[in-house]
Amino acid sequence: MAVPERGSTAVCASVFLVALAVRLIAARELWQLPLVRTPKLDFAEYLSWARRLAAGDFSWPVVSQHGPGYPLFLAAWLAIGSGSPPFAIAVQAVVGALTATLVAAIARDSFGDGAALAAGLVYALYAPAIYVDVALLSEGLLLFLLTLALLLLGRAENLWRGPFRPVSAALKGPPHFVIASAGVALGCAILVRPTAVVVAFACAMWLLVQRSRNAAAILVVTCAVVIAPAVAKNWSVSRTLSLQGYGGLNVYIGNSPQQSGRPTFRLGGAWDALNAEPSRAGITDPAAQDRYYLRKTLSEIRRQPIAYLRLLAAKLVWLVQAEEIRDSHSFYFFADRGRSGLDRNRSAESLALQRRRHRHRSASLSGERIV
Amino acid sequence: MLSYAVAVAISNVFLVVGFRYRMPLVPALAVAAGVAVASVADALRTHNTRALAMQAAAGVAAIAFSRALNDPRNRNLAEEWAFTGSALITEHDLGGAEAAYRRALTLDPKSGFAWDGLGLALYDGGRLAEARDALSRALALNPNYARALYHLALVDAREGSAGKAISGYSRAVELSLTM
Repeated sequence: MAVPERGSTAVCASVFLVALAVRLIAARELWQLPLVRTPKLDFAEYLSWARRLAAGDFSWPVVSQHGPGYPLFLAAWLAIGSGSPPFAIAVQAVVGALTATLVAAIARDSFGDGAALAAGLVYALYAPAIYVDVALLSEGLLLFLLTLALLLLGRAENLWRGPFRPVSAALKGPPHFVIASAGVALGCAILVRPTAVVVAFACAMWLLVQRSRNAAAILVVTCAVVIAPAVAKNWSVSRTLSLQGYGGLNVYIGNSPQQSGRPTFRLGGAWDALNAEPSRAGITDPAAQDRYYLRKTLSEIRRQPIAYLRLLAAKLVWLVQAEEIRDSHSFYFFADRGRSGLDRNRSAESLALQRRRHRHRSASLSGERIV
Repeated sequence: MLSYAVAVAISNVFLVVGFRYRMPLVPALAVAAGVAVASVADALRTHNTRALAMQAAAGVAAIAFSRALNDPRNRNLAEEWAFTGSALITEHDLGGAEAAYRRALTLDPKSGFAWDGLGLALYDGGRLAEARDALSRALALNPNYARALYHLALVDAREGSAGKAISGYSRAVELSLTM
């Protein structure tokens, strides 16, 4: 069933504009929060690495907390925007709006304009997606790249099947070229978050089963070409093929039958104790530390196999729960932005009074201040 | 699309399930939701009450299942207020930082992280006795909290107790090699 190009363009344009407007408004609101202006944890790590890159410092971390894809992306926009995080966040809002448009395009290709409009608007207005699209986190970019890969693979499938309904003329072409483009998108996604390798593997298997060995090979090779420089650099610096460090620790947190399978470890004594365990055992090499946690995880699973199966079942249920699972920060803190803002305004006068008092007291100090 | 969703689910179930980790499912679910909405609209247009009833049943079942689990820790914002305090210290807004930490402690009086942060804000403000009290509370909740030990050692140093400060620094480093 052919779909008129003009109607589809209008659907995609509407989705893009709605998604962009909502994201820009959200970004403006969130920027009022100190925790967004002066980020902590993963947000701070990404920003710090990106700022170093933007300043021309391309030194590669021995153990990287994160994949290099997002810091490189963020660094590019920081460099163009004179180091301004709000500028980079505005660019991210555009990328997020493009993701919503891609979602609409995927739905349109298989189910028509009605489904396209609904799907695009669902993504455009889904609060967690809005938040990750404008946060200094890798997920917004990751979602864009994964969705782009999905669209391209769907388009390749349509080219094989015959009738093709392109939104963009640029996507017309032989399926192998489209598959190679999907491979590039998946390679970039792996650079952003290395666990995307599971998605790339699934896509390659799908091509192998549904189409041909050649198609799967094209996807794997293009994907490998994209990630190869980063893997080679990582190998030369830290003698590990892993693009992201602390994999062993994350596997332990997610798979120890004694834990919840969720990021419930919080900063404090328990975290300090877990983090320092390998060092106390005399293991300082990052790769060896990863192996330490993997051994620890496997040993606990062997001791409590039933508890481990229960954990996997609980994680599967948590995967589709409406409640947003806290990781670095609770999503609800940012979703609650309106009320937080009201509270802040209400207490502004009392805070101003306190500040004057502290300024007076601080003036008598030597100026030493720990942050 | 199904292969994609299964791959994302597997990577979550065998790693960590968290807010950001499961986000890659959202585009696939958005497409499914879009198709569902279009299908409901179609059933309404054609007055297909049987299809509407089945769709409503499926929707209710999905919503009910999606609310099977909850964990109050996901909605307790004490830690975020404590991090807000930390951000405000970095922004040199000590009054704001103190208020944020106190708000965190209202939400969770047993947050060692918030007591430690409050102690740091008070230390930065030169209120050493109050800082010592806050940091001692953090350590009472968790005697092995390296950051609180380190911050208490700073208070000791500022008060001229060099021996106690050195002992505190040593213990903090011993507990957390990332200090």
